Amino acid sequence: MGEKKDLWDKAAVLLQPVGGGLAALAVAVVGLRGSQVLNDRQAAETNARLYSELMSRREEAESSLRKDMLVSIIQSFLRPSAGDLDSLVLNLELLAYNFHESLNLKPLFLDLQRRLAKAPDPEREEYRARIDRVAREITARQLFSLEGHGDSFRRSIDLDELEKTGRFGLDLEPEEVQVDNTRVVVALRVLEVDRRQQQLFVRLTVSSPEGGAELTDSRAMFSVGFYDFPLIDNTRLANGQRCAVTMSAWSKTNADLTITCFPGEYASLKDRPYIDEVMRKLTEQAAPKP
Amino acid sequence: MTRRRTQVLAPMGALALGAALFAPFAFAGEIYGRVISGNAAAPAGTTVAAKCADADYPAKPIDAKGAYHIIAGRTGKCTLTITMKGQSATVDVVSYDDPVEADIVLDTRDGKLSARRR
Repeated sequence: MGEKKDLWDKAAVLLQPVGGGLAALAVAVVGLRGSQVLNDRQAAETNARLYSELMSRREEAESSLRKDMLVSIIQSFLRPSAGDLDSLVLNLELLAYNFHESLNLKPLFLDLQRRLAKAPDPEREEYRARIDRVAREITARQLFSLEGHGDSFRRSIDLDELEKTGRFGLDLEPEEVQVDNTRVVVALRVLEVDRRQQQLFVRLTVSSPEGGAELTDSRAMFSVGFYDFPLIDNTRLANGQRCAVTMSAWSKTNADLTITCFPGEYASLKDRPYIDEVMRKLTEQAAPKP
Repeated sequence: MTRRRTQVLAPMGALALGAALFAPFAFAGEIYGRVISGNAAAPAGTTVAAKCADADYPAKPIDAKGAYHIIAGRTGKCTLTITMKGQSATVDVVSYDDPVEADIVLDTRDGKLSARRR
């Protein structure tokens, strides 16, 4: 006679196959889920790779197109033949609208301005107005973007008063500006005016405010006209920031200047940071915040 | 036929001539900007008036963000008069053929309001 089986023995008989089945089911679920996760991750990686490949191909195609465009436009300016003014104006417009962030176009603008002044073309005033309009539009566009990241102020100059001072020039009221928690005092002295080319010769001085952190004074002398774009034509300060002076308005008696200071990261594509600036930025970022 | 054409074209010609003569003045002399007091927009009720040569432009209130906008209609030196809480201060601005931006900073020293361009 066999031993009498209790409730637990009966339960074991029933549950053993069920347990085996559940274990097999768990293995299957884990396997399926694992494989699904792997598939999802692989799909995401494939998508990311595809996206970066597409982006880099688009970038390459755009770079190649821009290179071809730049070469063909630049050639029209460098060819010794006189060339018709209409094409030159159109080419400069194309260059300015497409490359104003990476090229200093002031020499081309001034060259065309000189050619227009000499040309007997009846339409030369219209051409001059066209290139001036492009320059002002680009300056305004660049200022709009830089003022969002930096600080700016404006000053008016009385040209008759400036000429009366001779070579001593005219001091404009200094202004304290703040960029990235650094305060600096920006002062400007206007030394000379070229009414024909609508240019002002200025001296810019940037220094620490009284009682502020020590910053080496920066001084620079340069000419300012409508063809100086702030993103490209700016003065690098000792702390890596930039200050740009741009002509914002001009009349026979007065001129308005806009002075903008902004972080170096927003300077043009052609402007490369100094190695010590990069190292200092990295150290500042790595340092624990108080 | 010729008479009718003349009747139609004459007013159009006069209109075109008028537009050509007055176009530079229609867009000239636009001054705009913000009035700032204590690193923020000046309080509601602050007004900006302008005087350019012999022409007066009545005081207009600034908006909630401190912005003002004056169409002076002529170029040259203008004096803006800013009135805040019963006190007034002036600042000189030049108006050009193109619009000109002039942000104004108000400051009170020894109880007296002063204004300067930023």
